[in-house]
Amino acid sequence: MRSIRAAAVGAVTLSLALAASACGGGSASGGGSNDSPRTLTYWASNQGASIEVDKKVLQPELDKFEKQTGIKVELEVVPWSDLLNRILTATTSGQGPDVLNIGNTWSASLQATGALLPWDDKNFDKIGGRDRFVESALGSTGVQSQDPAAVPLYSMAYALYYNKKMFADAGVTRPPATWDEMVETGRKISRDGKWALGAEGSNLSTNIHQVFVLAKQHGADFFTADGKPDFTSDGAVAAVKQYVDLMAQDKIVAPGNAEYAQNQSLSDFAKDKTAMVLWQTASATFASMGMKEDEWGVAPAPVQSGTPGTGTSTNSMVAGINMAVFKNTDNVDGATEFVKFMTSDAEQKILNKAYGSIPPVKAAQTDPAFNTPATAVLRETLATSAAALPQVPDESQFETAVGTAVKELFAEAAAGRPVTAESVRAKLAKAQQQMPTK
Amino acid sequence: MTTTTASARPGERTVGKSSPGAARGPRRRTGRIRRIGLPYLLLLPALVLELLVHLVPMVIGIAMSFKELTQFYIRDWSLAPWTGVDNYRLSVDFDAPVGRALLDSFLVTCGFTVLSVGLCWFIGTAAAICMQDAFRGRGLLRALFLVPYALPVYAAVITWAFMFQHDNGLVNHVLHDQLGLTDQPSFWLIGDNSFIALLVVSVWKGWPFAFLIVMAGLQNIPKDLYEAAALDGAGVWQQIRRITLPSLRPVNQVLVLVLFLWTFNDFNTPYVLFGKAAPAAADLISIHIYQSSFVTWNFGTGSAMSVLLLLFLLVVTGVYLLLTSRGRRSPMPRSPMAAPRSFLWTRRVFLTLLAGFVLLPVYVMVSSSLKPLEDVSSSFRWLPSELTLRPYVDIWSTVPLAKYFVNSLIVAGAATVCSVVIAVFAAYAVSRYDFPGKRVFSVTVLSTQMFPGILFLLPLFLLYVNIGNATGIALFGSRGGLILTYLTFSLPFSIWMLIGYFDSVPRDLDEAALVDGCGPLRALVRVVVPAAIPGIVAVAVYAFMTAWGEVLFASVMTNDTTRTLAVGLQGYSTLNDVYWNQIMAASLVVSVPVVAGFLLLQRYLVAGLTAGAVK
Repeated sequence: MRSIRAAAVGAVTLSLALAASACGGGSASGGGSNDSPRTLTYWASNQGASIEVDKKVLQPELDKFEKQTGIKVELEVVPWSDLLNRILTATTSGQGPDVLNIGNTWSASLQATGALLPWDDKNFDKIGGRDRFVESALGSTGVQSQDPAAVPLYSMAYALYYNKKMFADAGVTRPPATWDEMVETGRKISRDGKWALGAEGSNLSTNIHQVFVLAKQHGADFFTADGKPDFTSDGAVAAVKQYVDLMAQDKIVAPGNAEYAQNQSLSDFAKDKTAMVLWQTASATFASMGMKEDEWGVAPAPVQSGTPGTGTSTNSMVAGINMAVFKNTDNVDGATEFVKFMTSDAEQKILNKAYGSIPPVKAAQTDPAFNTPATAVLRETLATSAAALPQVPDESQFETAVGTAVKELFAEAAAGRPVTAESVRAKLAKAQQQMPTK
Repeated sequence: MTTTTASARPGERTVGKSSPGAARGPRRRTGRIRRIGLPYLLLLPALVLELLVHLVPMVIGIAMSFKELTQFYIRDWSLAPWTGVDNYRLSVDFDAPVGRALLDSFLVTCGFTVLSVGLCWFIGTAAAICMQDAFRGRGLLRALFLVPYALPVYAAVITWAFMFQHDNGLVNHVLHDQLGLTDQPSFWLIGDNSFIALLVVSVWKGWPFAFLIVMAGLQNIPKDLYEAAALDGAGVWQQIRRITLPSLRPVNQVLVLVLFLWTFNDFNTPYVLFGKAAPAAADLISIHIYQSSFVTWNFGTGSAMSVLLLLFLLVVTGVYLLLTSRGRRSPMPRSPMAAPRSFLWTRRVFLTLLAGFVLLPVYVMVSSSLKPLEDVSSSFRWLPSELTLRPYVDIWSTVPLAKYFVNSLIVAGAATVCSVVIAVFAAYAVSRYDFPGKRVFSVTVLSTQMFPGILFLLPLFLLYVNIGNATGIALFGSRGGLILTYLTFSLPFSIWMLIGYFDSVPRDLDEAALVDGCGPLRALVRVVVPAAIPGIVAVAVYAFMTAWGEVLFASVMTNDTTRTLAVGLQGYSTLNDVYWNQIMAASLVVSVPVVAGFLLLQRYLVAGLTAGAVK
């Protein structure tokens, strides 16, 4: 008995000692230094058709940077499935990259951890000033009242991509501009195993993007002005219901799409099984699937009525990738230099061309590559009718909670169960209750 | 610690063996000194690892459960405010959504565990009994039945995920297109059916373990019991009911407990099948807690939920052991009766169906890996429209599979070697010496099997990072850290199995070696280890498979250069198209070495379990 107690005391003491040392977390390194000015590590997000493609796109540019500055950049392309977890563990441990890409919708959440270098005027001046960037992109870099936690790198917007052959086969002459037209057109196309619209019902992020825009169109927001969750307003319920009803009631989305989460709808599109997708920068993927440029068209995403604009005429979220610097980097000057390089006019043109995205840097947008029919729609949408997702610290929890609610509603629709305003409200109420209370 | 005299020469131990009486002399003389230091020294590596990887992280995890550890504090969680029991109150307030969701998940997990363990046990026992007597093809069938157990979790589960696809999966093709049993194709991976899907996969993966253990247990039933019963005229059914099942009781006691703990804490299967957000009907508690901590970034509440889970498992295990340890009776064959002829037919039908169940995913894996992409992205077809080896060429360039392969080999190989060596030392100490704290050690080590991985994932990660900061030894993100983690994961089961095995090696053998002047370590290496080879191989196989198939820790603790196959295979699913043919080819490629090795060594495994774990 005595030995048990002794062992237990020993174990607990040791544990506490180690736990105490573990408490240090990332605090050991506070404001960043220039201890190792010759190297940088960079986590890039997966923008191309695969991670290997990304490496091929980025490595020559990193080599160029090394030639210019003598700083060697270690590149790791992190898959989207891992990225947030990796950032989280890097934040917790203080052992992360110097520079990294983040989904712009995460900006406020990550800003709240205090791990990212704030981009105050002084830092912005080092990369040529805040004015170089498009205002809508800057709107998705963190909480409004604070200095941005990141700098825009690639911008994207939703557009309606349509399959010209399927349109012709169904006798459809122009892409729908409103949701009513979408349903009308959709019913013409959705027959004989063909479907009008694709959806990624099990992908929480795309669910959020779509219902966010629809909520805007219904005059609603998922957060109140002071950042509290407000998921069950009439507008929010109508938005979610309208999106799920495309499958449940209008029957222009194939039930099978309820379990899609890995871009299967793009593959259906390329195979002439689905005539339309609402997507961000799909051109590179279509090309990789063997579609020629003249086989598909692109139009602004639908609105409730009229033409896209601000407020209830919003037809896209501001999608994009931001670049951030970890505050505890030991090469803060090099990191800033690297951000300057990546956001330079020349690099912006090269990178955004490679990924089919739009440069958030004004000067780079003038390049003719961003004025083709495909990119012009995206650029125009970003400039005039895109809204930033809520810049609140709880954004990632919001994506999980509401994204899951929509996923579950799609599952019910796919199983043939009715989706009513009540069932939508109940799901959203549950989602709201899962949000942190503080 | 090495030999005490120079006279020990190889080959001399046969002399000692013939004079066991003389063993007492020298053993007595040196015994006291050895007894004080040696067992502890032998246990030390195991003890240090258990502390580092299991116990200390658990204490940190418990500490975290009393903190408000959200994204605002993860950067330096010593700053996170203490919240007393708020996290616990939140978790068990079943009227509020967080508690309600936890309760739902708990109930789903309970239902799932009972069904899965019950089915695994039933199928495993039935199959083992069917294969108790020799018949043609028994060896082959036994090897076949062990395939699901040998396949790496992610390879097996990903194949099932493909089979359960709504549009292009085999299950809907058979149920809807071919048999017309359903009005329309069903959804298996979303909605309520996901529970069934999860159960099928879990049983498919889990029953061979029951089969293996029961098979080993059956070999310990004395033949003369059956002979006596047969003389009395008892039929096959009678013998099963009156001899086999009662004799298996002690084996079942351990088997059911182990199955219960593994199933209840299972993270890999739902994670690979459904991803981070499991459908409500299949929201197992480990995934639920993972989501509560890692996806919603509330590690305090997540830790509190893990602690509650651990408490529940402790109570259940305690009650279970109390209940099952009472009233063990030895079997008594009785009442002669005629042998029913139905047994043979039942056996044939059952084994055929089971073989079909086992083979189905294997067939899907092999055939799909030889199909062109069109075949796997439209409605399921049994045969490829054309045979192609293209997927086998493409897998190496689509993701850096070779690199992941090498990482997995290094990690699993090193973890296995270390785990075996450390387990041998520890088991030897427990088996051969009496020392204060022996019971504490055994109980503690075994109880770590109960720990939900999710409870100590983040603490362990923090610990590695801090050890790295303090000593410069990079554990986080390196293969070393992963090796350390995995070898500790397999340690408890390995030690426990080897203690049983070493106990069955006659003490006379090593005592004779001691008489010859061997030191205890030399006696261990020269005498005990060679006699225990089957047990050691069994442990090695187990350790290797544990390391080869782990997903959760690998997903957090590896980076681009150290990523293992378990995480690396996910690379295929992050592409812009789902290349099921390549996924199947890659799954097959990563499974072949493990399955082949496993099947080659399975003979040892059964022998090792027979003498060790199930005694």
